[in-house]
Amino acid sequence: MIEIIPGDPASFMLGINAEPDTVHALKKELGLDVSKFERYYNWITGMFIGDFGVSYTYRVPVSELVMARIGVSVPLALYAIFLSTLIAIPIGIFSASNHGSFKDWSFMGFTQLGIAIPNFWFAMVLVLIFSIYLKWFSAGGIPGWDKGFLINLKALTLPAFALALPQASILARIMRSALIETLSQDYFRTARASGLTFFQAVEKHAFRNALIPVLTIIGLQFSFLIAGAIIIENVFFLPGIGRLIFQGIIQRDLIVVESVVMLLVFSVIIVNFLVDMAYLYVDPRLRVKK
Amino acid sequence: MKILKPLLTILLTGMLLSPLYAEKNSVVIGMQLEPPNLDPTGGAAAAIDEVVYSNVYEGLTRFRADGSVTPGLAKSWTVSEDGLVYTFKLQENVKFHNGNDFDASDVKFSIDRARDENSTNAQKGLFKSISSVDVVNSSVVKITLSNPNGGFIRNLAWGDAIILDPETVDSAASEPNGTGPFKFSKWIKGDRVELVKNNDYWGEAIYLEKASFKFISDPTAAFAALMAGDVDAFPVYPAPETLAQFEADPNFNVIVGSTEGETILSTNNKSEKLKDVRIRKAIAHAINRQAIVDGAMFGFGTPIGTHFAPHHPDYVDLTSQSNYDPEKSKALLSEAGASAGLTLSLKLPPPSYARRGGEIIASQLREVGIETKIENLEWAQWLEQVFKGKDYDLTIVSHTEPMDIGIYGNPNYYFQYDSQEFRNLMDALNLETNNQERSKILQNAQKLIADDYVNGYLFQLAKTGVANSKLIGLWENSPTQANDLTGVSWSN
Amino acid sequence: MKFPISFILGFFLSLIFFVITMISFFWVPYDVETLNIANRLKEPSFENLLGTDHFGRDIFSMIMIGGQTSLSVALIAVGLGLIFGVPLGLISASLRGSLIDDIIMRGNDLIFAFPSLVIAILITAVFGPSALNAIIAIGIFNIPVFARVTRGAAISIWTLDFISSARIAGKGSFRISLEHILPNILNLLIVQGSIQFSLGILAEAGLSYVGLGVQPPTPSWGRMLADSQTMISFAPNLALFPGITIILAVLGLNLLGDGTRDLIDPRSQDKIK
Repeated sequence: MIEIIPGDPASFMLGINAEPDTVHALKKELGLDVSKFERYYNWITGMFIGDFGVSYTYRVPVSELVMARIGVSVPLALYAIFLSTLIAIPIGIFSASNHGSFKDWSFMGFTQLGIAIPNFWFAMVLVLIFSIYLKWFSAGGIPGWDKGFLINLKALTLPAFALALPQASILARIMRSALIETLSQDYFRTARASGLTFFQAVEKHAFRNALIPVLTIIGLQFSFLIAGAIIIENVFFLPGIGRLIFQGIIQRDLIVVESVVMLLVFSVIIVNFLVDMAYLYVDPRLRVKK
Repeated sequence: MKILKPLLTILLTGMLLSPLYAEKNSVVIGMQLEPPNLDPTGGAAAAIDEVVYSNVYEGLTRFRADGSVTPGLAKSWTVSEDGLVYTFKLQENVKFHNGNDFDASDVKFSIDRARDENSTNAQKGLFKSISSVDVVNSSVVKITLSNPNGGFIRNLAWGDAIILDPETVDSAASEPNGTGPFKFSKWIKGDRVELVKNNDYWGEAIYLEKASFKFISDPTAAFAALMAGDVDAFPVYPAPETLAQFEADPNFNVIVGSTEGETILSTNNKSEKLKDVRIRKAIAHAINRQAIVDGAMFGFGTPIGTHFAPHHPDYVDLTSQSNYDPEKSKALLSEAGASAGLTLSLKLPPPSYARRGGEIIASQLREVGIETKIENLEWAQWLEQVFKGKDYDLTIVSHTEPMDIGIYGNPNYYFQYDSQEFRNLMDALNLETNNQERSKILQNAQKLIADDYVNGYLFQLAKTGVANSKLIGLWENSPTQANDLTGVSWSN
Repeated sequence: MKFPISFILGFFLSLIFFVITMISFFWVPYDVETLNIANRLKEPSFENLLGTDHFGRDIFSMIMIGGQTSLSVALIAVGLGLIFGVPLGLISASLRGSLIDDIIMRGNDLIFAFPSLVIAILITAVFGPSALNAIIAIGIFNIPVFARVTRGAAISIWTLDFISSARIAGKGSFRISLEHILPNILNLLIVQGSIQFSLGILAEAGLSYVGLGVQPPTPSWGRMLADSQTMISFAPNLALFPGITIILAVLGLNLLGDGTRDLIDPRSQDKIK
């Protein structure tokens, strides 16, 4: 499908002063002189043996490019999920326990705001405040994992926060309504009546039940965070998967684009599977079903 | 949940305490585009030369900051009476970074490879006049031309003419192995290239121990990276609107120099709507160059009236020939029978000079009654539609190759200017070796393309760079696209 | 009847947004297609309520006209989702458990599995950037959303008694879907529609931020942000106001959607007191 995009990588690489026979020579070197169908067939068959092919522009195996980028994208996505959960769960519990109060209203107002803020705009504002004025964090980039853990974590903090805000808002709202649902159940009332404090009752009984919808959302978010970080990766010049695919499209390095898209689709399936497994852990009732 | 709090405290304090050193013998250079590979003989991307030229790779001759050409790997040379035979005496005791010796056979290999039929060199034209390359002995090379070429020594200074080690040529794209003062260290794709000092360098020792090139495509991110100190210099800085802010800040130096980039409103001369010279002339008079320089480049750039760099001694100022005169423009349009409704496509590549300049030009053309349909394209789309397909009326591009007026002699070039008169001038130029005669021909060529209103000539792109004010020795101008770090050091 | 606060707030925000956009079809303070470089980067004043941009255009006028872009792109994208998604969902529900239902639902999952922004960028890489392609890119991802919501709601109605009586009266699946199911899930679709509408505005802003939406000189909020972000440190109004506009518009529609849901189904608003 992607091979039909107009434009070819050879002319992109050689620029506007290249002579036609040079372009042709390069196409031959890159294996672009065969038909589109043949190229596609080669790529598909190659993928079955774990060979994604060689990037047209970088001239290194695609798998090598992807592996390097995963080292940025996956930690970033995990960090963002960690932050969003960290923000969302207390807010969700607090709002649900103060359900209907002014505090609940104002927290929910904030989450509405969090959903409505375009994350690239929020990222810009974060950079302006924390990098340019306060100089607490660097404006972007990542030093590399060989330089130590904390320094990288620090570099990922602003982008992870920019990604986490809308996710946290959604999560907090879901957490709240899921909790409200369980708080009205009889067993919760019984637990309260048996002398447990509100928070003990939440921790012991309501929390687990509310976790199911929350887990679903986290699962959905993970794949979104891997691919959806394109813009954020651009703002913070992080060499992640999103940037790789964006550059691939711009430079017509289609073999990279095809491979990464397939990889993303595959990862969505895996994550969904993992979320299903997590349900079983959270809710033992689902285990005995079969 | 209980261990979460102390854990977080440790993490946060750790993050805030982790120091950000700036070691004084290393430098981080920001670049907007990442090179697709690191072999300047296998791609046209300016970004390749911007990393490796003069740092990792060297040629027989080389450009200096002022645009002059000085000896490189060739110590000296002589030219035969008829201008056809060049004999180069090479530097001795030069080693490639992998330890291999450099000698005359490497020169023969590299130049023959570049001019080979199957070569993927983007500037094959540089080697066109060569008929043979011969090794005289290990330190002397003889190059024979088929016809005299006054610019030959200059051609050899281009990044496309650097000397490679035949043994490592296959890995040149990802692991460059040259003779320069820096050795390639590593390339983290999508992020940065790192170079380290070559302690066995044959020439003058350099100051820096380490140099990194960091790729930041987003102009806002480039601004933030400089302000936050993540990069020490951004020699081709993409956001001219913020330069005033850097100028006011004592921590930064703004370096304004010239480039070889003639920024033009390229016009499809074969388009039905534009083949009438009066219409092209009308467009030229409808354009207010100063407003474009101010609006798109925030004042950085020199208006030009033809396709030639103003800092070149042979430049002729022809801006008054196409001065801003909307009334004249309207008159020309009605004379050409196009006063009522002319709609032109305006396809714009990504750089901000094109995107912003395009919006300004669209507004200026509307004043004289020409409507435009703007389409913002990525480079790949632009190459396909405009450059190859010639499916456009107007576009804006900066032609950054030095001395590239010759492109007007190619009737199949994307602006499709077909003039026998111009081709005759170029043929004469190639055969002429007398400098005075050459400059006369060049001036006539400039006048001819101005008289024919081939394109709308807008402005010479300025090189606007920003650097930490303690960093010295960066190139001010861009005689070729390079970040020569050999003379760069930190002052205290 | 007591209106929830979210409904009232959302209603008024959406109304303001809508009215201003409508006015812009007939009148704006300044022409936004004529540039006036000499008048650029002016701070907010009585002449230019929100100041002027780097080309000397009036930001307030640009935001007004930019509303047209956001409104139309998001509206048509939601329309696309409704036109294709709702029938798919109804078919799926009426044939629940069958192979066709399975195919439709797995097709949905497949679309969901593709990263939307990447596909949007690919679409524009093939067809070139334009408002139409932005609509298609956003619209495609609305289809599975509506299909899923429709199916879920429709299935619960299929189990109700009055459907069985309609069955007995001899009505076919098609007529039941159209005459009984659809009217009963309309509320839900309106709520989902307003949420997708606000997401569409965000998506349009994101696409034109990366340069894939409507082309200049037509103003769009996302491109206003992209064009001005390098100037945020010395002319913050250029990026601030379009950003706030996007937030308010999205906020308004979200609140309206939530409020409507509370209004229709008070159970979801306060279950315990």
